[in-house]
Amino acid sequence: MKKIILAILIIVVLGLAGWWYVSGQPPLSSLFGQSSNTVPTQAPAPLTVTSTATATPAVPGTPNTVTIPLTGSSDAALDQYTGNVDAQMSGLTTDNASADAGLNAQ
Amino acid sequence: MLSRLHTLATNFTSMNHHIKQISIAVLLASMSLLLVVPAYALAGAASSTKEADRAAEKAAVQLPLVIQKGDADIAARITSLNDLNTRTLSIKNISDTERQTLTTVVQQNIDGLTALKSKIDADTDLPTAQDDTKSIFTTFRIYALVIPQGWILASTDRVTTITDLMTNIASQVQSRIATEQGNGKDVTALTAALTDMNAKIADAKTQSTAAQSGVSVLVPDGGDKTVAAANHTALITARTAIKTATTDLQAARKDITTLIQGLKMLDGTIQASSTATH
Repeated sequence: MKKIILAILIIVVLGLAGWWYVSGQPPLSSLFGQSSNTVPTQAPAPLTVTSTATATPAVPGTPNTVTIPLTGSSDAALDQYTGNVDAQMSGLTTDNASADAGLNAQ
Repeated sequence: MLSRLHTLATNFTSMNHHIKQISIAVLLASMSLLLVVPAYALAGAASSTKEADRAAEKAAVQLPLVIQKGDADIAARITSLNDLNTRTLSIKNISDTERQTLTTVVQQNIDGLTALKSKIDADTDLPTAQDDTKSIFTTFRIYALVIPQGWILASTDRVTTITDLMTNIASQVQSRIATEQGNGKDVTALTAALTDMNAKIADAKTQSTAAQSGVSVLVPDGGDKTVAAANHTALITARTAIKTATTDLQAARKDITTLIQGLKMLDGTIQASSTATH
């Protein structure tokens, strides 16, 4: 009988753990009111790209709203910075085309 | 003596006869003129009336076409100005005052063109409509100055943003290269790419600054052909500078790819063969 109860308990605990993992719940430490004692992992520095600076197709008026990131030299960070550059290069193409259209329309 | 008197009398009679004939001829000619001139004048007047009628008909046909063309030209310019206005609002590398000045110039032109459209639409005679439509080009100088000037300034703003982004990347890459060099890795190729990248960034900045200073001072020519020609030359020069800056940035962007791929190879994130597909 004890073995059955223990098995059920283990299954319940595993189920709860699985649910917690899948649903992205807060850390257990916060659930139990304890401070986290984990070593922070090295993640790419967050980019501070504001709202509309995307690599969307070049259209007149593509805004110039990228804020320059300050730190981070990981591969992932460099890739993200490069993405920002590409979005702005696309915008530059649009700006140039609009300038040419104006000059050619005279 | 008598014979001379007789001859004189005969001549006088003959002369008198001639005078009568001439008088009759003059009288007849005058009467003819009196009849012919009014007829001719009448015919001329009729001809003038016909020409006037034809001109009026022609004007009646042309007037709506001139108005239609004027409206289309104004609509195209207002659309271009609105596009520029949208872009101007997001220009970040200028002061609020400069941005406000740009926006004001654009808005003033939109307002002026809108008022001109109302006037053209209300025009009832062809010459006035033609003069009004002509002022779309002579008074406002939208495509001759405002649009290219605004977009070139937008381009310089964009170049500044990109060079700032690339400078940050160069700084991060420099740090990574130093680390790899400290680990005993061969960073010769990466250093060369970084040097080239920094040179391209610097030249892009120089070109952009020149373009910005070249066009930001331009003012409408007000019909002065010399000023108009100088404005056009300045715009073309600035546009050429921006093209050079763009080429610099494209080269720097290739350097970035070389650098990032090189760093990934050095730290073993990717294998050498994978760079060929990138």
